[in-house]
Amino acid sequence: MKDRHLPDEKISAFIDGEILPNSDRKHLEVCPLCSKKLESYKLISSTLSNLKPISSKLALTEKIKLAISKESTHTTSLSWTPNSSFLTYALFTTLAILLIISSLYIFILHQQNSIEKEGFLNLTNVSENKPFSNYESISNLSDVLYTDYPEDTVALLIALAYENELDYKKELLNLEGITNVALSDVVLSLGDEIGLLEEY
Amino acid sequence: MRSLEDWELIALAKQGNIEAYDILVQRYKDKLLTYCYYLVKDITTAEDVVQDTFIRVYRSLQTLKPSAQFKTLLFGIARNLALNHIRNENRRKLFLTRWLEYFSNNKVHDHANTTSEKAIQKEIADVVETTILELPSQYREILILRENLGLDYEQISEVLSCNLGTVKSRLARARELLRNKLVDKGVIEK
Repeated sequence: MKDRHLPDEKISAFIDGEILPNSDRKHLEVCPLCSKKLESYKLISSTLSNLKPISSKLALTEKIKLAISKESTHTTSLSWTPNSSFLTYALFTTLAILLIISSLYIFILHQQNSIEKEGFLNLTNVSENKPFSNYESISNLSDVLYTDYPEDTVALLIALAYENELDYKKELLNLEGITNVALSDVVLSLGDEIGLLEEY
Repeated sequence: MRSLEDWELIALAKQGNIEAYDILVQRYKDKLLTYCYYLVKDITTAEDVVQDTFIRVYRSLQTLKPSAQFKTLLFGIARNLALNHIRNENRRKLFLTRWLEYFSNNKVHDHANTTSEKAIQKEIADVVETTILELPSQYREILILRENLGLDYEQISEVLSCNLGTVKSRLARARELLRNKLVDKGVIEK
């Protein structure tokens, strides 16, 4: 009997109040290994039940209340019913906006065709179009990246970094700044955009 | 109003009674925060997840039906949000690790465990508290749900969307994993 120890699952269930057959209970009494395991499970159980409570840094309740009150205001505003003259006005406005958007789309498509013909995404061209004070760093960065990723992927990544008007631009060139959380978000989104993460 | 059951409070909240919803927030925020903390291992993120959970429930008040226990519903929503966060965080870390491999030789060092000279019980509690964070998330969460938040097997199976057999075996595995780690640290005898 001593040679056949109780499975962990049985001892664990016993801790949670499951009734064991007499033979198993007797085994628990006489087997030093199983009884020690039972004791340690009990210790874990009592320790975890008395963990010091997690306290919120900020006034969590206030934050939730505020968020909920905003939600309820939002819900109230959604219950408003427009009259027919407003609907007519809204319809015309929507049509006008759609017309403007489609014109812009056609214009952008035309521009993109021109860019592709001129090889705009070539890294050198990008840097010439938008001179950057720390060009050497970005050049080094791209050299390292080129060893692992396709050329067009790297070029697009760098081009996106140039094109974007966010403040992280300089940090991107500062290699130590890569651990910055805000920057990592941006880099991640850039990586997502070009499918770089698919490799993982 | 504080003595009302969860679903009675939900019924009042559906009619626009914000105070009823506040009572639910008070009733569950600390438990949710504990659960989320042991899932995401970061207090600020855990707070965000708790807040988001209550907002989501509030948004879907009108569609809520008292078919399940409100508590398990709440934990289930928090769990999904927390796991989404973990997934995003893991992807971010993986991506950044690759970048860091290129740009620096700095390695991330684990925090060294410090042993206190206080009472043995307190010492054990401290070690257990840090050691549980070393377990994979599926074992961390089931231990917290069962041992700290006191959910029974059935409630846990609802929160985790799995059957009772899985709850039982996962819990046993979690206890054994934690025990082994505590044995390695010399907190308990082998």
